[in-house]
Amino acid sequence: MSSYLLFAVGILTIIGVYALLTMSLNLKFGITGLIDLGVVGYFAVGAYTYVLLTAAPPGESGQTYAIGLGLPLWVGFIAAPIAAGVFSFIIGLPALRLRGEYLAIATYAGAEVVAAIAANEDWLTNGVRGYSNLSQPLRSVVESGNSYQYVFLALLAVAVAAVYWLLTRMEIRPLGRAFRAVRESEEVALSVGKNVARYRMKAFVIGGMISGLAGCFYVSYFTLVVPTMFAAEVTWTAWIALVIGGSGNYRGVILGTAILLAAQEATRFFQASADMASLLAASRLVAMGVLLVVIIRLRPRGSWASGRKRIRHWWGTDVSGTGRDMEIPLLETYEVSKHFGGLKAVNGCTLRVPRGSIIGLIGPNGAGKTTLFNVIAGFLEPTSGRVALDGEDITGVPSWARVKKGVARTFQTPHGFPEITVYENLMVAPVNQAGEGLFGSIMWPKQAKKQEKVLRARVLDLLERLGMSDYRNTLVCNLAAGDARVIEFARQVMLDPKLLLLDEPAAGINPAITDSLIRLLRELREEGLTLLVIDHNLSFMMRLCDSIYVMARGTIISEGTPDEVARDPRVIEAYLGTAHESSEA
Amino acid sequence: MQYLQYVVFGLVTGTILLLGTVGFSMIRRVDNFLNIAHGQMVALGGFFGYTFYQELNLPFVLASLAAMVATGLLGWISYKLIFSPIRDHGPLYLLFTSVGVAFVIHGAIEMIWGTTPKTFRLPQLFTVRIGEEYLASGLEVIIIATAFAAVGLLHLLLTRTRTGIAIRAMSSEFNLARVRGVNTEAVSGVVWIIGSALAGLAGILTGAQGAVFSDMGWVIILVILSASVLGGLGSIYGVMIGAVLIGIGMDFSVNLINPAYRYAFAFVVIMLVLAVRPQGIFGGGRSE
Repeated sequence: MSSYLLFAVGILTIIGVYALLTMSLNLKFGITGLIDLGVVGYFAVGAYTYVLLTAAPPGESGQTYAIGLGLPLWVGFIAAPIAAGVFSFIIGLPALRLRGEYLAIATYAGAEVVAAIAANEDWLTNGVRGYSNLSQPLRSVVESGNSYQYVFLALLAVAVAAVYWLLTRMEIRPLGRAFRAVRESEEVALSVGKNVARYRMKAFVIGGMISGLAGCFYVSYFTLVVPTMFAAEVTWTAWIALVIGGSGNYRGVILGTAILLAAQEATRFFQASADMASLLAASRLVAMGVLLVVIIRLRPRGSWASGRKRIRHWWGTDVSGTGRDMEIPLLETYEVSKHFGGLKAVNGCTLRVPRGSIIGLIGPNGAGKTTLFNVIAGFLEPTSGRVALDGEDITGVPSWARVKKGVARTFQTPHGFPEITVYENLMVAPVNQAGEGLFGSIMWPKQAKKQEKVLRARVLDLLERLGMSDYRNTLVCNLAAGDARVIEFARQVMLDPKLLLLDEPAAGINPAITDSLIRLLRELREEGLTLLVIDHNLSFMMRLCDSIYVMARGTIISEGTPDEVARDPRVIEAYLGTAHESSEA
Repeated sequence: MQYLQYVVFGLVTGTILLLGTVGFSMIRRVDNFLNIAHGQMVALGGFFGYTFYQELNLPFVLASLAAMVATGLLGWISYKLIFSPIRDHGPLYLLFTSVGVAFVIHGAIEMIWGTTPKTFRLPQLFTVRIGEEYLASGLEVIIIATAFAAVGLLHLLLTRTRTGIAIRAMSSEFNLARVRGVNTEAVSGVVWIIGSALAGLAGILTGAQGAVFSDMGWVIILVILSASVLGGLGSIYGVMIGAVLIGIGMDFSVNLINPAYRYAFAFVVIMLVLAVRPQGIFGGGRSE
């Protein structure tokens, strides 16, 4: 085999290993939004696990290391990703509670600890001497050492293809949708009942396992493991490849890896002398840095914004009927108070929302309406008092779990998941989607397929009724504010809640649509939904609600039908009084 | 007595680290991102110092000042050319751009100075003793004194001058400072000059204690990160204390664990702080 060809095969092999790393990073950052600067840590854990399990026992190899279990290689290939996954889990437990730069620092630190252990614990890793002459998978199939490189490359290619297949499968399934929702907005993801912490951990551990697998291939390709193979540069290389390829896009990041690594490795061709070699090594660093700076400069959003990648769907509208749960819920709050330090934002509020009703909550600014909403939705814990749904006390239930019990809320300012499409914003919402599990998203069983079809029909129907059908492929960040509010509302309707809490649904919406909004809300009520609504627009509230509570300074000062409330002198006083106070402020 | 010596070692490590961390933290506060290239600025200061002191034979004080001017200037140029134009893209873009800059500086150091460590040879000045016990070398005393002097000057600058007040205003409320007429661009520039110059000082003092290495920037940035986390990211005075504590902790840890884990100790501190008290021991810092 010609040496050029061999060289090319070598480059392809390195590209394959890094493609695994970059894909794992894409799952964590590109899809789920986790900034992980410790990629090399999971890589090293996988590599060392593989070596410790599969290396020949010390007596037989003639080397001086302490541990070598001599197990079959396939055991190593299975155990290494698992070990890397466990390590990810351990790092993730404290680190995933943090976001952004803190997560970045914590993961970086985790990788450094791994590197320190690899270099110093001689009894475990044989320290800086490491292991050499490792055996390689399927070594015996071919006679000549050189043609074995093809076999190895083929094995690696199979692994890369399998991981690519799994990850892209996951991406278009409900699990991937949930990951992207978590990336776009933690708060909204919670409001549609996603256990954000668990999704983060899932992406983190799956990503770690893929890096661990990459580690196996890396060391068995070189038939060698030494601590210097796991420098922080590995992590940066994966990040640069991710940036070049366009974060969020698996095909792109593999291409990015290929370009970066081919350019890097190709320069090794010209290492004529030792002086030349060190100069080249230095210029490789410079080139990598310049590349990173320039790419970020030139492709400010394109390369990162991932979710912009359109995902193809089959737009069937033939399925109708949603099988709605006809049970009618009831919400009650008992003497709920929420104090912030000395400020009594909500003070002893008791209200009842009968099944199938539209109840309004009005009051001047600062009356505590939104705080009460947050307590009902579980975003704030009350200082005292209780919240009951359907007679069941839900006071201590976390917000995402309340959603599963049928309480959904919207936000005053539309939150949404800005960089995913309108369609996906709605599709991500429903809880307990069969395809949100790891298993379901990959195997894609019949029941998940069926569920997806039903949901699709509901989304399309809802968009139709809202007159938003034309926008289904638009990214939410490109919508007008009023439309974004409508989508926010529609997304929460997709949760199929028993009780929907609407925080200022009419604000910012074109008055011309207000009538159709009222009509839609009434239709939904006919279909079994119960609504609790906050709004400033009194004429809107008077037309919409069956009954209205009025809040002022944290307490409920009046309740009754819209007409009764409008005539209540206490209500008039509260509004005028506050108008007076606010002019003083 | 031996423990007192570790305290001295720790103070030296800590005060040098402090000089590196203060600049990092000021940039973090004013421009709101983690500048990974800051560790390379420290390394660069060390190598400039080596050239000025060992090769050009300038007096050490002059060599230090020259190294500070050089790194300060380079920091300012990097800000103007690279960071300032993409400032509106957000912290993540800035962070990864700074990784790129870190690679460029690291590569440039290896091109110019090569990969062999550069040793400083400083004359033995005097020693500090308590009775008969050896406590510290003159160099160690000078390093500690220099660091405290630099921090004192910085404190005066931040509290007594218009620029300093503008810096503090920007760190607490960037947009408000801008609408109230603070020239944020110019103030940022000043912060980069001061921060990078202090990093340069940290570099040459590191060298004065022994040697500088071409890849030391990556290690330093990790310790800087842990010191900042310990002190509370972005709180300038908090990270000063964080840096000194990390320095002392690292040198004390040598008594208990393998010296090779000196740095790992710092990282374990990060994990613990993040797990228990993410806002850092001295609270503060901008909420995200």
